[in-house]
Amino acid sequence: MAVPLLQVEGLELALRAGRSWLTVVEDVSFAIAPGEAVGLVGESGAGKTLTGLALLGLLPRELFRAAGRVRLEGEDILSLPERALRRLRGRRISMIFQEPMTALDPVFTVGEQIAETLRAHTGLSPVAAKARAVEALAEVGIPLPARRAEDYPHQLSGGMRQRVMIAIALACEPRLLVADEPTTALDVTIQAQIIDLLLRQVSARGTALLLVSHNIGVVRECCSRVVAMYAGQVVEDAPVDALLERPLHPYASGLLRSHPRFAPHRARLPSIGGRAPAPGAMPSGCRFAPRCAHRTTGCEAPQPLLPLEGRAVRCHRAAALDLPGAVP
Amino acid sequence: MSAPLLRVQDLRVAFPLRDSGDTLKAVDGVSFDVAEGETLGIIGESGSGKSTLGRAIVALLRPDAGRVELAGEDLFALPAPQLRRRRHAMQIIFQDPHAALNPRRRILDSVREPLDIAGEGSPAERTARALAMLARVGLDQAQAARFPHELSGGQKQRVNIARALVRRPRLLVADEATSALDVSIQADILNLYLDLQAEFGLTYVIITHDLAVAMHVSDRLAVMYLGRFVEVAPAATLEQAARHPYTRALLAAEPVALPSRLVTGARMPLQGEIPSPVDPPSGCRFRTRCPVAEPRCAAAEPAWRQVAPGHRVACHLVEGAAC
Repeated sequence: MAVPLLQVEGLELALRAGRSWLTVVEDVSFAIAPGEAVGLVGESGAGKTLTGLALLGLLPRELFRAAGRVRLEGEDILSLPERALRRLRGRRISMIFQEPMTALDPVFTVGEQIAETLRAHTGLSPVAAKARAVEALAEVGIPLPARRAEDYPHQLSGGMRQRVMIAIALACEPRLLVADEPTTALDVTIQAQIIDLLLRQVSARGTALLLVSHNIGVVRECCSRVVAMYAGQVVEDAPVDALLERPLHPYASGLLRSHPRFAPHRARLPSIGGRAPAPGAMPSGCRFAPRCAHRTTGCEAPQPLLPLEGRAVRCHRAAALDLPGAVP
Repeated sequence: MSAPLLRVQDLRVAFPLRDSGDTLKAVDGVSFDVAEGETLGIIGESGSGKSTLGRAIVALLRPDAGRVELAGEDLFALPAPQLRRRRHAMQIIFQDPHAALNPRRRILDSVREPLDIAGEGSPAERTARALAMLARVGLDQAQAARFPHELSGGQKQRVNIARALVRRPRLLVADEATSALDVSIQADILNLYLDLQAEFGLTYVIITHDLAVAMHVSDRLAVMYLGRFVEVAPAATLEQAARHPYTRALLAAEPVALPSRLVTGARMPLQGEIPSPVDPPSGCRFRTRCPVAEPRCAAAEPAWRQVAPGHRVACHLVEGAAC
């Protein structure tokens, strides 16, 4: 890979629990090249949303402690003071969320919210920022943009609100967009529209994308690489097609195979069984071992993320296992 | 086929809107049968009226017109006390497993409650029956003594299933009952649904926006758009030979987790959003978003046509015998 745009190295996040700290994300490392689209997948509690928030320094410092390195264009941004982070957010790295209603300010029109972002990061005059905001709404496919710019968020549908969020996030041409479940709250036909829009917009600008999602189908449509997380750690980092064809980590395989598509009609689905461990009760060795059908001696030892076949995988048996993927 | 367990005829549910004086026609003329032991899946997006339909089927909502018959009995013709005595036969499970449980009651008490209200058996027998049903859905005695917040989402949905089944209903309606769960937990819950259906001879109506889930568990599927069904077919037929443009668009819009070489067909996202059910389009309701709409689609409502045994479509552009 060329010089990465973003490089995450050994990221560790701990949550304050009374007087002690509870590690919720541990040893997370991955990189994103300029313009690359990477999916960060996992189930609830895997740590993918916290990882995304940490990249923008959005985790409250009184509650979370971060260690490791997050380099954006070579600069370590994890330890930047809040003032510097504020200059960074929106202009070099920005974020959209699952529920645009809570991310938009209900008492300002959507036009004002885009114009405010522009004025905060560029020298645009109020008039020019307003005109640019209307253009931005047109670019994200909002009909009658001049009139919609005068609307408040509650006057728009969920799909339209997510279009506005994309317009705000991309207004200052950031190098990286972190999108956390951007289509999860939307109907499938609207989801298809938003995915198309998002991909068109990031590719037109050469913006890199980190798509945080529980939906591997959405990640396949948007991304060329996928980073799979389980219990606070990266378990596999691979090209999307390679992971779908032949996953190397047993959890990735189990997750893919539990989709209803791969069982005969009305037959029992293959199930991983059990539940992910809670933070504070993590197994000392492989965190997936208690649920793993391929568990053997050696799994009691902590598993490092190691390179294999051009990927990275956290399983000492990966080379020996031949696991089924998302292939009927 | 013998007499269906559930028969819904020309069902209509409208909600008056306080501010404007308009009415929102959530369900606007829906008819279908479900045989004993069968699973009917109802697929639709937000605003299609699928949840309102589900509530009307189990008599949580009184329709404005039409009939719901359970085992030949017209539910809404029954006097209130008799309807109450039928309620144990039809149960519904909702999407949010937490909201459906009283946070201040222990799991066992929540599951025992339907038996307590019905006054069935002695208190000891009721406890035994509740514990047995909890065990059947995979929760042990220690878990039965806990409060809802001490359980995971999947475990709470198991509790809701146990509570719905503890009085042995004949019909179970599941409204997005696995939508809030992670894929690996969803698989466990879907397996449980299938096992319980076989064991208790249950009839299911599965309401969901998730095509893959609906296709896996359903014998037949109905696709709903703006208060009406647009296509009804056996699950395999719908997957391979859907005829209604809306059904085809839904199938094409679903992002599939398959390697690129196995993904067929170009995506053609539908334009626009679902119109307001307060003022639905004239003629075919889908015509404003339909890629193949013609002038006649605005003029008249499409009639139901049978294109194959058990496969009905409401579209002007589909040839078939009127039905």
